[in-house]
Amino acid sequence: MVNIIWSILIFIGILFGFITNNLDKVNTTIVDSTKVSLEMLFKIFPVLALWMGLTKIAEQSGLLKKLSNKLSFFLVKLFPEIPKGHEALSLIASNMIANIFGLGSAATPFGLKAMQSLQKLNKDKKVASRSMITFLVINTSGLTIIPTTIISLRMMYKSIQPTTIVFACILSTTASTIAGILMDRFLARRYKN
Amino acid sequence: MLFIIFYGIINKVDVYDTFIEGVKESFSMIYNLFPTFIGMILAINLFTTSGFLDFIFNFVKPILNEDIIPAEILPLAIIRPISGSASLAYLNNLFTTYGPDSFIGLLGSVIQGCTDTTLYVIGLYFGSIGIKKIRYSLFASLFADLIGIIASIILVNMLFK
Repeated sequence: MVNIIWSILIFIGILFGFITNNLDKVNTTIVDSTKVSLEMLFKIFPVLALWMGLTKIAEQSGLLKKLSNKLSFFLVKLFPEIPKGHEALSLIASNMIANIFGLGSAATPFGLKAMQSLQKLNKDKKVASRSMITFLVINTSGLTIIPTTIISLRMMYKSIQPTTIVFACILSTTASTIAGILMDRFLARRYKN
Repeated sequence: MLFIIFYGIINKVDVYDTFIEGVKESFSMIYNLFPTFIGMILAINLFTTSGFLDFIFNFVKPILNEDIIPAEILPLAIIRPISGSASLAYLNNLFTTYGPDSFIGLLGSVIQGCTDTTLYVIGLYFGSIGIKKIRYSLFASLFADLIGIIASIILVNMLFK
């Protein structure tokens, strides 16, 4: 699946660059993209390192467990395959909490750790498990309650009311998250056979 | 951050050693992420700079009701799930041209805020643990994005018109 998506993106990219006579641009993009990825990696590395350190403390002190207990009612419903009290649940809870408060940079390390932990429960290590997909869908639909990046961008452009969009954002992100979860449930049932 | 460390001290955790141990783990994570990053960003950047989106955009433009969905918003809606930085750059453009408080500016903000970069998150999360078969996750995520974008259009039309 990833193979196909990756190939299609590259294929369309190069083909269209060729058709629209943009081959120079395509060439620079190819060369630049490795540089861009390295820059992005360097951007998240320090944040990742810092939060991984802090997560470890939160994990050892039992803070993560406490957080996940608060959310456990929903989590058990969403992830029926994860055994109760498993560390994956507390990591997922932390990821969600960080996302909800708009701490995107903190959410990613929690999310990656949660994935690692789900992989331990996974039977076939090359195939995504149902819990992984549910977790992913919730993450891609973006749980953010306070879209900090957009508010600051709006402020930069001297918006009269930079935060006026928050309410609409919350509603639309809720709609997309619910739609995602429902679709995930539906497909999970179909794919079982 | 302060709270986490404080909570650790109360519960008698070796905060410093634990912190260092956690940071160590980030190296192996970055090591796993690097190839995924190179691969995904190459494909995504090629796709977004190729002019393919402009092509689609010209194709769809005549059949739109521009009172409800301004044509300028479409590229944003398409790029949003593919590339976070590209869509943010596009939103920047919209703000410069129309202003953040215009209808287009508001709609753009809500679309940008309603969903995360699906392709990036899938590549990152599955890439980091070596999943090859992602099954129905892409479809379900893109469906969620679509609903989010439709909801944004309806909401902004209702609230700001």
